[in-house]
Amino acid sequence: MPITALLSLVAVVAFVLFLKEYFSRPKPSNQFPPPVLEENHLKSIELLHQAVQNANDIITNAENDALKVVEGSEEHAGRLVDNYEQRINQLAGALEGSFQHEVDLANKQYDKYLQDLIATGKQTQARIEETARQQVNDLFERFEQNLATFLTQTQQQSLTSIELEIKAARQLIDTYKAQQLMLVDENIIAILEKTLMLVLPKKLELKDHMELIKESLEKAKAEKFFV
Amino acid sequence: MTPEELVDLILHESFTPTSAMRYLRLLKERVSDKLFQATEEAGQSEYQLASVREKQWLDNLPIDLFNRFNQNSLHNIFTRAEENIKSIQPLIIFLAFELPETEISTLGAYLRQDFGSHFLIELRINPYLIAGAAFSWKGIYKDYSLQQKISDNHQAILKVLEEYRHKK
Repeated sequence: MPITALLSLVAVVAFVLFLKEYFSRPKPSNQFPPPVLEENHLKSIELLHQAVQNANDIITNAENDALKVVEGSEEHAGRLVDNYEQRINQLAGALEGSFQHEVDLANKQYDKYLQDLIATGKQTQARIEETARQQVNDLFERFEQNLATFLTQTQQQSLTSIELEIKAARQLIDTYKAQQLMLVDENIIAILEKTLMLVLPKKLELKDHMELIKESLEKAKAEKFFV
Repeated sequence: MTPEELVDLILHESFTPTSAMRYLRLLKERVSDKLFQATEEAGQSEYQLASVREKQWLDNLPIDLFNRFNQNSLHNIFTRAEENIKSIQPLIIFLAFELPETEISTLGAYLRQDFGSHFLIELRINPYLIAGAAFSWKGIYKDYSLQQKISDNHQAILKVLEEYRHKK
């Protein structure tokens, strides 16, 4: 039905456009011979008359159809509206129910989510606490290790330094000792002579001195010193 | 009294040039006192400085000895005796200490056994000799002291000390 109405409308419009075109066409000049023109004129008038009749029929049919369509459509529209309203109501009810269900579901899910979130939060808090405790423990352990290592290294360095100092001091002492012994070796005879010079005159008795003097004299005589 | 006799007399008691000259001066003083009748105070100067031994010798001289001098020959005899004594070349002995007089006499007597009664010694002190003696005779010096022995055995002593140190 709507298609028929549409076609009718198109025909009407075409006819109106044709008429407009026809009447807007420029009049033919008086160059054509009059009998041909008259003939054509009569044919055209006939054609136009037929066309007008056809167009009127079409229009009438179209109008009837249109009216029918309109009626039908109004009825249809009313039914449609009713259906639509019914359907809308149904739909609304269904939607409302569904929405309510969804809302309830969403609330439940939200509650569940919140509970899960709380549980997760607690778990996370516990994990974080545990992690923090572990990290603090690790930190303290590392600190202790580093401190122990540092103290050990420092102690080692101190010991090494002290050992080096002791070694250097010992070397100094050995060098000094060697130098002094060398000095003593070089001057031992002089030291011996000096010591004897200081001690013997006091310790030796006169007769021992006289013996030594006589011994020297005898030696000189033997070497014929007194010649 | 001849100068030689006088020298014999003097050298009988003294073994060093210094003591011989001292004895000579003492005797000259005593003889001068006797010959020129000098007072006791005037003749005491050398006598006062003399040692006990010298005084004893002088006091124990026989009286007839002084009769062998006269005023004319006194100076001459003593001068020649002095020259004789000074002409004797002494053996210079270097010692580490000062010998007492008795030991000087002992040493002098010991040497005169080999070198004659007119042998004189001159003692000098050198503590560096430590012990023993060194001699200088006719300008030649020779060391026979303990110090020289130590110097001569320098290396041997060092060796001994070295061995001792290694044993330590």
